[in-house]
Amino acid sequence: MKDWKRPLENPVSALFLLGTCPALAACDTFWNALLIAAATVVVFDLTNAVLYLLRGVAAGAARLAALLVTASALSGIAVLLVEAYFPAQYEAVGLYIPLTALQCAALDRVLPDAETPSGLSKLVRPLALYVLTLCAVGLLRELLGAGTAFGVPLLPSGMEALAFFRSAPGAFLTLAFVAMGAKAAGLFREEAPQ
Amino acid sequence: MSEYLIGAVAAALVNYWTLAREESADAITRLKQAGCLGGATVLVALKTAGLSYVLYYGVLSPLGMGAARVPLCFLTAFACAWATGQLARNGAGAWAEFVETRWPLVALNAAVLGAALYGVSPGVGFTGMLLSAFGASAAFALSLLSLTAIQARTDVDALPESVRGFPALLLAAALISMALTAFAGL
Repeated sequence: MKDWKRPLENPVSALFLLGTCPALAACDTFWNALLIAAATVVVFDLTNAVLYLLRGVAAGAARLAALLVTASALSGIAVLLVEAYFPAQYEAVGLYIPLTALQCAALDRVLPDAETPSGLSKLVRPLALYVLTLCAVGLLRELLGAGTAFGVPLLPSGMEALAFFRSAPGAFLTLAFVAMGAKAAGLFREEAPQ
Repeated sequence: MSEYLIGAVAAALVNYWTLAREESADAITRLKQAGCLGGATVLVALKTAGLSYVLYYGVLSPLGMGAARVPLCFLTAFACAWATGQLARNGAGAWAEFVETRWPLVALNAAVLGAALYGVSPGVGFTGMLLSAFGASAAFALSLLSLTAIQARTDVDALPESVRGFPALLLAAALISMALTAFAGL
């Protein structure tokens, strides 16, 4: 906790994955963003557990195929669970939960390898950053686009929010603002080519 | 449909970032790579859409296994991309060389676009599915080429430090998605 402001290791990967996330379209409120992020993290962790068990069999291109099939099966289970226990959120984000399988493929590529169960600690920080940033984007879009926060209306009657931020361009713009703010605050340094 | 467009632009972001990180190349080479990747994705997406449509309605749906359509899409994209990569071995030129080595990336692109397509076009016919796949992959290719061209022409030194790199890329993606959304409204 004491070094939470220290520049994070390779956070650009976590941030840019949000820009790649098709679910960015669904993260127009805080609760939807939290649900999508939680689904992605759970599916990713369980997929890694299965791939660890298959480590002697699946290698190279076969590992990619195994990852996609495992992640898609687990995301299908996630869809059924969300539909059963969170029907209101399912109406908003149910379409995008199967796409968490592809998000897992991207995460697998850019996150450090956790080849053993003890190596899972390397994934905690990037995944936490992923969840926090996605929730921040969802909250910002909800504030700017709907005038609510955590579902609670904040704007007085007669005032309208900027519906632009609930659209696809608004999602990218919000994420750009979050990235700019994080970079200006010195929370990360970027290694990406210009 | 505008939510689907964000998937195409987001996929273009991934691919631009992947190409930019793998090699240091000049602007012309990156544009050529983007063109090769866009063309390969259009080809594989069309094959994936056709094959998965036939397999879904010919095999899965009669057996009552409609829930397996997303894994089917992923596996079909993987197989079509691999087959395209194998065929490219016999070819010559930059496109064949590109596809032969980067077919997994093409497979992921086709899987992203195909899986999302199921959600927005659930009841279209075979021709409609092919047209939707072509439109989606063409939007992806156009977005990738636009992103690459924009980044090649951006005067990095004129940008503030906090805007350089990833934030500038996202701003470009926002502009491209605005353009695609405008086309969708016509």
